[in-house]
Formats: sequence, C-alpha cells, structure tokens
Amino acid sequence: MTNRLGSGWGSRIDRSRGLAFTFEGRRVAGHPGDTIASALAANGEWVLSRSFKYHRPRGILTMCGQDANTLVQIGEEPNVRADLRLASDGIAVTPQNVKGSLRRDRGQIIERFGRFLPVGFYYRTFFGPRRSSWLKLWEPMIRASAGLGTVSTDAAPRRYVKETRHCDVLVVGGGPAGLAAAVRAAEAGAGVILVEKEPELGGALTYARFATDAGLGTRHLSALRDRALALPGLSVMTGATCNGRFANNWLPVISGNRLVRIRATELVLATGAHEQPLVFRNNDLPGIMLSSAAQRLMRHYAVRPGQRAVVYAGDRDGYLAALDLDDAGVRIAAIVDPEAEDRDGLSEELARRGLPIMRGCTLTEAKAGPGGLHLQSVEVQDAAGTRKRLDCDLLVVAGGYTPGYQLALHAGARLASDDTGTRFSITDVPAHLHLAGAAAGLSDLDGVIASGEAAGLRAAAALGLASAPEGAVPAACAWRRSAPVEPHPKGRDFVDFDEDLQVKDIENAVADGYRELELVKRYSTVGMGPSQGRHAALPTARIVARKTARSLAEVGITTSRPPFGPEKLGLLADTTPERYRHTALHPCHVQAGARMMPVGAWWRPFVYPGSEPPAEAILREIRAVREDVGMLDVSTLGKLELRGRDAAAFLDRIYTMAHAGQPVGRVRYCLALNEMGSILDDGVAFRMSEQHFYVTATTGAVDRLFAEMTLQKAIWGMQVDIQNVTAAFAAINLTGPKARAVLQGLASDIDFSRDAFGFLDGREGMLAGSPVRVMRIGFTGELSYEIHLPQSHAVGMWQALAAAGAGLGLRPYGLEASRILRLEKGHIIIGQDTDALSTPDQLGMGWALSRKKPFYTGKAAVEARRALGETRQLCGFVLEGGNAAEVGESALVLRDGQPVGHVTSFGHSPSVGKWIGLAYAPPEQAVPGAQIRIKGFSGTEVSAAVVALPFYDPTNARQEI
Amino acid sequence: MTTAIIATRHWPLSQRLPAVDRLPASGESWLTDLSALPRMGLRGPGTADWMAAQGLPLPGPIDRALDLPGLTLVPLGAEEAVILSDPHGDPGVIRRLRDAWWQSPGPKGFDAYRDETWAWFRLTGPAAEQALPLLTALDTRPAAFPAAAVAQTRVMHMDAVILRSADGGALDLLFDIASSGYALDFIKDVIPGIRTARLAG
Repeated sequence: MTNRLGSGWGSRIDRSRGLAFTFEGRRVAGHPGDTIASALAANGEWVLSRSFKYHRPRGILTMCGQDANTLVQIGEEPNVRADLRLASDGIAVTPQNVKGSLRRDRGQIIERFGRFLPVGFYYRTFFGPRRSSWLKLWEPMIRASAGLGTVSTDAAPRRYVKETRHCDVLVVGGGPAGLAAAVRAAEAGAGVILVEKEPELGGALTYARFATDAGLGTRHLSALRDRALALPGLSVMTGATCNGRFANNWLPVISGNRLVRIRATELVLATGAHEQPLVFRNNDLPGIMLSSAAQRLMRHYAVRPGQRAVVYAGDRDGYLAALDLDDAGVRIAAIVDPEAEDRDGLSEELARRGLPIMRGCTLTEAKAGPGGLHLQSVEVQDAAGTRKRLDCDLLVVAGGYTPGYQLALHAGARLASDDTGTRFSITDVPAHLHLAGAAAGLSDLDGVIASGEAAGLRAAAALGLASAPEGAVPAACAWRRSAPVEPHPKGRDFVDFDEDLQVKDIENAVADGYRELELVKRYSTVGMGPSQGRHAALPTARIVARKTARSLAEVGITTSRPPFGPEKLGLLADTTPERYRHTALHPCHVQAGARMMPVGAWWRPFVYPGSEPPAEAILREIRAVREDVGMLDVSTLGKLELRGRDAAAFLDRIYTMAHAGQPVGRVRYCLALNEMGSILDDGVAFRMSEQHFYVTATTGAVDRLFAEMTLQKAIWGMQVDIQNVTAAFAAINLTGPKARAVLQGLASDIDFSRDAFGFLDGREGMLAGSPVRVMRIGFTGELSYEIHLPQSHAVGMWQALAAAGAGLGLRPYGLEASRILRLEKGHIIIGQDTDALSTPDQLGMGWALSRKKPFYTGKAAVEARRALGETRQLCGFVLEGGNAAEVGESALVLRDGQPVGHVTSFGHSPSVGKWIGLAYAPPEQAVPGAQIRIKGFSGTEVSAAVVALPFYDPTNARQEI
Repeated sequence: MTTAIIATRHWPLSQRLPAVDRLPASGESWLTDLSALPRMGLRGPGTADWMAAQGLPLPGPIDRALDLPGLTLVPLGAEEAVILSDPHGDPGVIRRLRDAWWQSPGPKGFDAYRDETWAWFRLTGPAAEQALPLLTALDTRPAAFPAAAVAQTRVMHMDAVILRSADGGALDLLFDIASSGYALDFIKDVIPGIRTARLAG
C-alpha cells in the first residue's frame, strides 16, 4: 500500500522516475526528490528510531531536521537526519540505538525499570556493590550503550572544502521575510548573500497554508522569487545552514561538505519560527507530528500523513492544516481547540466542510496500537473534565511557535516571553544586526513580509545606500495559545524527546534543590541532546516557574551558543595538504637515499643508509666526521639580519654576552633569556660590519625570537632593521679533520689557512662561484666551517663540496649522527636539554653571562634566582657496561625512590665506546665522581657515574686545529 | 689544488614543473612559477629616497602597485618595497638597478634578499579567480581588491603578499620559498586540473 497523494501534491519529487534503497534490509521505493523519511512514510514505515534512554519507538515530528527522531545510519555515516537527506538508489539505511531490530528492540526492556532511573540518577549510582564495580561492571555496560550510531575507524577519508566570502548584507533565512529583505537590500545596491537551509527558497511559503485560499502562499512565493532571481547583486545559497554568529558578523555556513565562512557588514536574521510540540502522556508516539510536518509531507513529497486524523489547533495554523488534510482526503476525526471561542475566523469554512470542532478541550493522552509502534487513539478532556477517546492514526499538533532565536542569542541578544508564553521578543540586538519576520516578533504573513522589507532597507541604510524606514512593523497577533504543562499521573509526558525527560523529571530536579534554569539544565540534561532545547526550552521554563512560584520572565529561557546544528569534524579540520618546508638541498638528500624525518614543518635527513642498516650507517657517518670530513644540511637554522645604527647595542640588550664590543669579523656565542631568566634560545652572531650582524637561532625558536626582537625594538625605540632570512640562506656544516682541505680545493677569495681563519672567525667572500658567509664554529667538536649562502646556490655548493671532498672521504651525515656527535661534546640542544625553567646556572653556563653589562633581558631574574639557589643541575653521566635497563631520554633520576630529575639526552658513543647522556640531578649529586640512580624503561634501576664534560676531547683541541 | 666551478642557481620546483619560454595565454587557468625571474627588495631607512632618485618613487598608497617599463613596483611599507621584473621584458633592468644600488653610497635601505626569501607564483584564468576564496580570507571582491591592488596577508595558511595585475587578469603570490612544494600541492588540491609550469628565467 502506498501513502502517495495524487497530482497537485509533491512539489519536490519527480514521479516520472523511481529509486530504491533498503531500510534495515527492507526494500523501500521512492522518487528522486524524496528524503529518506518521506520515502519511508510513503511506504508505511513510520518508526525511524528508538529513543536514547527508554528505547521508545520514534517517528517523524518536524520533518525539517529540528528533532532527533529521524537520525539514521547510512553505511559508515552515522547520525544522518532522514528528513533532510535525499534518498538515493542503492543506499543501505539502518536505524540507530537498536538492540535487535527496530520493531523488536530488546533495549525497550529498560523502560520497565524507569522508576529506578529518575533524573540525575547517574550522580548517585554506579558506586557499588564493590570498589571495582565501576571499572568492571558499569563502565563497560554504559560505554556499550552510549552514543547514537556507529563510527567506523577505517572509513575512507572524505574531502571537505573551506572558503571565505565577504558581502555587504548576509540574510539568513530564505522564507518570506528573508526573501523580502534580500530583495530590498539588493535593489538598493548592496551585495547580498541569501542563505537558506532548505533546498529551495520560500520557507513556509512552500508548504504552509495562510488562508482558506490555498494558493496565497504560492503567489507570494512566485513574486518574491522572480524579483530575487533578477537581481545580479543577490547571490543565493540553498541547502546551506548558517551554523552560528561570531564577533563582527563572522558566520559559518555549512552546505554538505563545504564550509563557507562569511564576513558580512550587515546581518539580517530572518530565521523564522520553530513550531512546538505539546506535552501530554505518550506525546512521542509515531503518528504524532507537528502541523508543519504534515504539510511538508503533503506539499513537498505527496505523502498522506495518515488515514484518520485528530488536529490540535493550538493556533490558527492548526485550522489551516486541517483544511489541507481535508483537501488531501484525510478523514478528520476532530479539531481540538483549547480556546472556548472562535478567534480565527475559519468556523464558516470548517462547518461547510463538515469538520468537527471540540472547543475548550485539551489532549490528555495518546495510546498506541498493538505492539506499541504507532498511534491508535487519543484522549481528549473538556473543561468539565469529561474525557473522550478518539480513534486516529495521525495526531497533528499545532502547538504554537517560538521564534528562531538561536543566532540572535549568539550575537548577545536576549529572548524574553510574556508570562503566558504566548508572545516573544528578542532584545539587546547589537549593531549591524537586523531582525526580520518571526525573529522580529511577527507571525502574520503580511507583517512578516513587511518586516523583511524594513530589515533589508535598514541594512541598506547602514551601508549608506538607502534611507532607513521609520517605525517598526507592529505584531498583529500572538504566537500561540497558552497550553498547560501539567504532569500526567502515569508519566511518559515528554518534555525533551532527545533525553527522554518527562514533566516529573523537571519537577524532581527542582525538588532536588536546583531552582535556576541553568542548573536544572545541567542536572537533568534537558536541552543537551541533538535538538538542543528547540522544543524543550519553553516547557521546561514554565515548569520551573510553576514549581518555584515565579513568573516566566523571572525564570528566563536558557541561552543559546554555537553551533546551531550538527557539524562534522571534517568541516572544522583542515583537509588541504599539510604544510611542509623543504630546504634547497632536499633534492640532493632524496637522490642520495636519505631517510627523511619531520622537524616541525621542515623535513631533514635522519641518516643516509645506503645499503647498510640505519644503525650501521649512523656509526659510519660519525666515524667519517671524526676521522675524515662530513657535511650536514643545517639550512633550517634560524637566521636573522640585524642592520642599522643600533644593531650592536640592541644585541647587547637581547643576549647575555657582550656584543657591542665584538670585533668585525668575529663570531660570538649568543644566549637569549626571557624575563624570568629562563633560556629562550641560543645561536651565534657574526659581526659583518660595524652596523651589520648576521645572527643564527635554533630551528624551533627563530620565529618566537624574531617576534620578541621586533617587540623589544619597538619598545626601546632603537634604530635597527631586523629581518628573518631563515629561508633565504641555506647553510652547510662542513666538519672533520679534513674540512679545511676540502675548502682549499675550491676556487675562493677566502684564505682558509689556520692562521688566517681562526676558531670563531667569520669571513665573507666567494666560494666555488657563490657568495658565502663562512663561520668557523663547532657543534661536533671537530674542525668545522658553517657555510651560509643564498638558497638558490645551495645545490651547486653541495655538489662542489662533494666533488672536492671525494678523495678525502667526505660524506653527508644526518640528524642522528649529529645528535651523537654534539652529545659527545656535551653541547646542549635548546628544547631538549632545556625547559621553561632552565637557567644558565643549571646548565653550567655562567660563563655566558656578562658581568659588566648593566642590562640584558633576564639579568635581574637570573640574579634573583641565583640568590634562591638551584634545586637541579644538568650533568653528564656514563653507563658502565650495557644498557639492559633500557635507559633513554625522559627516564627518571631517583633519590630514595623519588624522582628528582630526568635524562634529557642519551645515546651510545662510538668515540668513547660507552653509553653517555645528560640528565638533571640534585646539585650535590651532579658532580664528577658522584653516582646517580636512573630508572630505565624496563623498570630496572641502574647506577650511572657522573663525569666531567665533554665526554670526548676534553681539551677541545680538535676543533681549533 | 683549486677546482674551477661555475655556480648555477637552482629553484625548488625545477624538478616538478616543466619549463616554458613564455607565460601561458590569457584566458586559460594556469599556475606559473616565476621564482627564477629577477626581483629585488629593499627595506629600511633610505629606501624611499634612493628609489625616488632612480626614478622609481614609491606609490602613495601602500596597497597599490605601479607598473613601469620593464618592472612592477610593489610598495610594502613607507620604507620597504619589492621590484618585480616584467616576465617578458628586459631581464637586465633589475640587474642594472641592483648594480646601481651596490655602487651607491648610503643611506639607501638594506637588501631584503627578495630574490631568495620568496617564491613567486602567478595565477591566471577563471579557475584561479574562482578559487581565491579557498586560498585566502582576504576580501577579494573586485571593489575591495581591484586591479593593481596589493595585500600583505595570509594565503594558504602562510604569510604572503598577493597582488592583482594592472589589467586585473593575473594574481601574483609572494611567499616563503621553502614552502614552494607545499604551495604547489595546495593550489593543485583546491583547483583540480589547473595547468602548471615555470619560467626558467
């Protein structure tokens, strides 16, 4: 049997074609344009899911994605809103939160234990019977039950796109108010973007009825759409949800896998209104839906929502929906109106059609048929208390509306209501934001359109494109009729469908001492589900007001924060290529077969294994440096140009050593501290002329150092130009006893002889046809030259060095060999051997602190901390024998079984034939000759001998040959 | 022993992009790497006066480039600018300017090494214009970013200079040269099918 209506219905489906998919393995037929939910409804499948806590059957409620009843899983994708997602051929749709099948869900047994699951029960449960019960019993049980849907851990990566757009006016909402606002603003000359979450413009004009004349909405829609499409300055985005409003009108708009971040000068919120359900016993049964849902099913998808209907007319729209149902051939059992008198002027038409009206009545209970899966009847009570049962398979609820307030509240506005909850207002609206339509308090069609036009003109006026309209469009009528929120003695009167919270749960939260709405929310979880309180906020506030003897205005309504609706993490993450940086020598390393490793965004050679295992290749590289010559790409080192009259004085303030008197042509070690006296960075400074310093920094700290220098230069008002030239210059460290011979084998105007180019000298000139800056410094402890040159010359230089060194045993070496080489010399690595508290004194670097300079950054703190005394000291240690204990970096140093330090650097030294390392230890233990206890990662403790640094070449003679 | 070697210059994308002799025809969507082309940057006290003395006065607004015979003058600050060569012009223009700078006494600003610090990409064609919102959060609407406009901003999650050509048909990007490969990957990701090449210089 099909529930399809005939022609004249179904504006979104293409009946000339068909499609089929499966739902829980059952074949479902539909048409292009159907959503999953509409196709299921057309096939008589009204149960879509099971509720979170009690596993109650749930079905269509809003038919516009504003509830969690329609969440389904499609293949690997969980939490798909079936009333929004288009059906497509061949997809396999499955229900969520089901144990067994949707119709026979074993999880429903939990509802029988509902009395043991009152509000906030989890704060008082799961503590026993034993201490281990939580981890062994309850946690696994809860984890298995938690969540909706199943996440696949090996799902194929999806592509998400992010873009940024700017506009003069952003209009959110493409219903009558939004269309009118967008058209007016665009006609005035503004660049307008109109965002509508439905697949077509029009909003309620596409499905609702506004009068006995069913075509009124369509005529308005055609006129507005035609005007909109004719405006070149109006850009329309349909199927796009504005998911929040951030500072200065920065708004995320989500359309499928695309996130469009829009910056708007003026913002118009025409976000409409959300129809509200009613609270009564079993108000969650499939077959109970909002009037707008029934109209969407009929007008958009040509689906008959039921065979025999009861309509609750909590406002005029209920009567209009009844006319639609009658037009569609649905039998109307009764129209239930809580008001005793006719306020809607529709009595004559209803009487003409013979539609029965029960005035002054309320709904008390809904009952399900056999199996409990669908509505079978409702119970209606009149003012005298007499109850009557009405058989039906459809209950259409027109429970009134609340305005679409979320985005306005994101902007800092406030939502207020009168004490009966029948009229709403949004106040404290910030500048550059304009409300239109229902958001502005209007609910009649003419008023909504007029208010939209006014909002568009106000936005244009703020841009200087038009004159601002005078006055506000008056609200012609209330939002809803006041409906009671009283508990049913048997319960199951749901206030929050997502969380299965009933009236008594909210009342009990108040009774437990939580009087304030924000606390009730957090205690009970009301409003925390996927619907985010769209339907629960007002009834909850009214219950709290009643139980605390306060007015609704005094209680207020909980605020709203972004996001407005669900958003995939992929939209927030960045799926564009991850940033990486290559030195100019990268092709050379790849060609040489280097194993590359990331160092921040940079990629650097770890080792050049060749045909050997990496461990042996590393040993070979170390031997090459110690016995012959090696070259290392150090292009990632930070490089800063400091030029100008105050360059030397500036360096004197930034660094701890004396640079103002540094001779031209000399290189000096640089140590930078922060204002706490902790080590920030180190490097060297080559004085190239009186007013020109070339300064190096560590790869990881150069950006921070550059920012700090720029700040301090501005504060001190010094005349020095500071430029970060890290990427502009490549750098090669040529090191080993034969390094000089390699350089002397190349054409150059630099005299590399020992007497002409001593340790800590710097020279500028030409080498192998390239301009170079060469510094004789040492990290490895061997004769070393650090060759800096423009990055475009680096490959040629590398090749020239390789050719010149071919007969001298020259080999490239990588980071791991470099790490061991410098460790053998006891040289620290900033960020590895230092942390945020490391002072020069802790590292035995008091020699780097000038005693004569009156000021350098951190001087005062260094002296103050020195007076306090140190609690740790970095020292060198060796392990006698092997490393069976598996000591490594971060291994703890212990004293009397308590941690008092840790290992910062560690490795096997081929040059001294031992395991060596650096570690923090108490000062009294960090002296040569002492022993420290280290706990290896095997769990074993081992004693290590503290030794003097460096481990290799203690006189440092090799670097000064 | 000395070994005579002629220094050659290498550019990051030399092995990834085919070399072409001329810029692609207008109307097609291309990414062309111009990093090998001559350019010169100056910064610091004396820059503006020295450039004015060479007949290259910095344009008043910092956000507007100026096309002159054989070069484009891109101001970056009151005392900072980069001079880009005309891809099809006389390659000696920048060289002669640099020689004049070296020979000039100060104050004349400092060499900003812009021929080494920055890669230089040119994007042309309709796909490039459409992809701008994917590359940067800058307002690139024609009224906000017209022909000859210059912006120092963030592009592809990096600091960059972006300028629109005087005829509005091309977009030039100047950014960290070490990120050349990443930038190529990024643009090919967001503009599938864009054609790529490099001018050898």
